[in-house]
Amino acid sequence: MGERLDEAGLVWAAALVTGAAPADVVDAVDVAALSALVAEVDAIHDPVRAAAHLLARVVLERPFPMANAAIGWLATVELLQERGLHTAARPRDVVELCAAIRAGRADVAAQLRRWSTRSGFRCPACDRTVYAFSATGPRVLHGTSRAELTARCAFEHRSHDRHGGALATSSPSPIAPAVLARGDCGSVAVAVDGRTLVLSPYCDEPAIYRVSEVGEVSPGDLVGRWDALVARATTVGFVPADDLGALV
Amino acid sequence: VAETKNLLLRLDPELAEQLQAVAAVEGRPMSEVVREAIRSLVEARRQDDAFQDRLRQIAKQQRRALRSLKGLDDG
Repeated sequence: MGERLDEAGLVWAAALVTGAAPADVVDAVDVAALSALVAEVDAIHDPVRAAAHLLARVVLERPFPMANAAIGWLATVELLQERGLHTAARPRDVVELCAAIRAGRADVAAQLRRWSTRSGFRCPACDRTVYAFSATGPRVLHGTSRAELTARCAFEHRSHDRHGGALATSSPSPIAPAVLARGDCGSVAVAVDGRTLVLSPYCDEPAIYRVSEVGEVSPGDLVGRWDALVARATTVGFVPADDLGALV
Repeated sequence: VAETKNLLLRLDPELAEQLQAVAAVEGRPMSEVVREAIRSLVEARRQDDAFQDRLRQIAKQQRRALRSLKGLDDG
């Protein structure tokens, strides 16, 4: 069937899926069905058809006491991989396929062929594996040119741009506080994160501003007497004038 | 009923004869002898790190599908 996916391989797949001990799986499995399955699949040379037969038989005949669809799918992917094919499918599409198998209306081989691509494509830029993933449509990786593989890798892994270059890192843009009002002698009232701060010159050499917070500000405060607004402010710190940029 | 099932095994003739002989001598169903043979093979496969690693890796990659499929079986 596969290099290692014989009866024992299927038992290990079942143990992995169900969490049971392999010896317990052997005790519970339908030996006749398992052996027949392996013999039949082994006789099919086309890897996709062999995998399709494996999945359909496991789903329909349920040789294991539980989780046959899951065991069948794991074994199917393993079998395809042993034979040099990578399989990529959306989980819900896999479930739909297994449900269709049970309903007797699935072309399993055709579906697996759509989901499978030759293993071994590597990105020339970063050496990651490049998959041709398309769960519903035709395969999208048509060639293996350097440019195509690099662009495909950029799409799948987002580790570089489509030409293999480093992705641009965007530094967070500073949010300019909104200036609410300007007072005498270079003071300014600004809104920062919902708080109203008053920046007032504190020292000329070096140039330092006092930062004060005003509890509640009404529109009238901003057009009224500046002294009254500042009088209600509580000093929260001091900052160099250079850090305030164009605000002051 | 299980004992009436035909076993379709791809065994080399020598091994098939051995199994038949063991089954006859021990008076056990052939299926039980085969089960024992599979058990031995499973134990041997335990040492196959490449196979075990790949199977685990595939199970990890397919974990969402496997979880959904287990639900399908349970349902």
